Amino acid sequence: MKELSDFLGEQTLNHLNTQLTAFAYAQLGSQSAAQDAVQDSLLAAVQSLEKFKGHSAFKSWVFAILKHKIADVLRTRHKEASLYVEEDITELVFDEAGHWQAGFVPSVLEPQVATENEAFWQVLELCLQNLSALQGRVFLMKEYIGLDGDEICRILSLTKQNYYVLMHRAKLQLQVCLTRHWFEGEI
Amino acid sequence: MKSCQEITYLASNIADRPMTTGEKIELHWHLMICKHCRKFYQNNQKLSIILQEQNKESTLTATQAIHQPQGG
Repeated sequence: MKELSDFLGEQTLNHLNTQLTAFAYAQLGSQSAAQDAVQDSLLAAVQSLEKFKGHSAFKSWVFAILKHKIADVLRTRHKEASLYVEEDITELVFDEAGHWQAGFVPSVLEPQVATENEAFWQVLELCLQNLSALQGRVFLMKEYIGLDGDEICRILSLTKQNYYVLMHRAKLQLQVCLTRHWFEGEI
Repeated sequence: MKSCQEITYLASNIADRPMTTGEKIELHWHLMICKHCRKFYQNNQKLSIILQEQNKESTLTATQAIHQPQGG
């Protein structure tokens, strides 16, 4: 980045870096992802540094590169979400023959006790938070908000097949979590 | 014959996914003989009820809050 601070001056570079990072953070929602995208964009921009005479032209150029980077990151995320690169709970819960593994079998949930118990809600909330973002959304849209499967698929651009897989995993994940933290008190 | 993994998949989507008669028979037969899958299925139903009740309650609270503005 030496070339760059020579070209822009230390202060302008720092200021630009802050602006770029704030912009990327707003789109990506993660500080480390934002910093990575900014770093990549600056490195790419430096390669054509000699083409730019003024700072402002250079800034627009970096922003343009950053926008492409962000779009790439978001596109990859979307693809990952729809391909379920997220952890596959079924591999933990079931053995190769598809039988329940010891330690993952569900316990009996007593709703009367549960609904009146503040502690149960805290555990349930924790377990819902532990779901992947997409699983959590799908599960709550269905079970809490009460939307039907077709509607959820339309809103989240999922295929029916994706939706079934997400619901299956979300429910397994929740029950494993509830069994661990509620029934065995391992909070 | 379907494994527990496959049965929990069917059971998880019982409300949304159309099932063939064969699948229905296999699911209910399996739930009768397998207590782990039965617990999984029953827990899902209970969770579903708990969350719906909670949703009704919070809607009620929100409605009450609207009709009883604070301050006054």
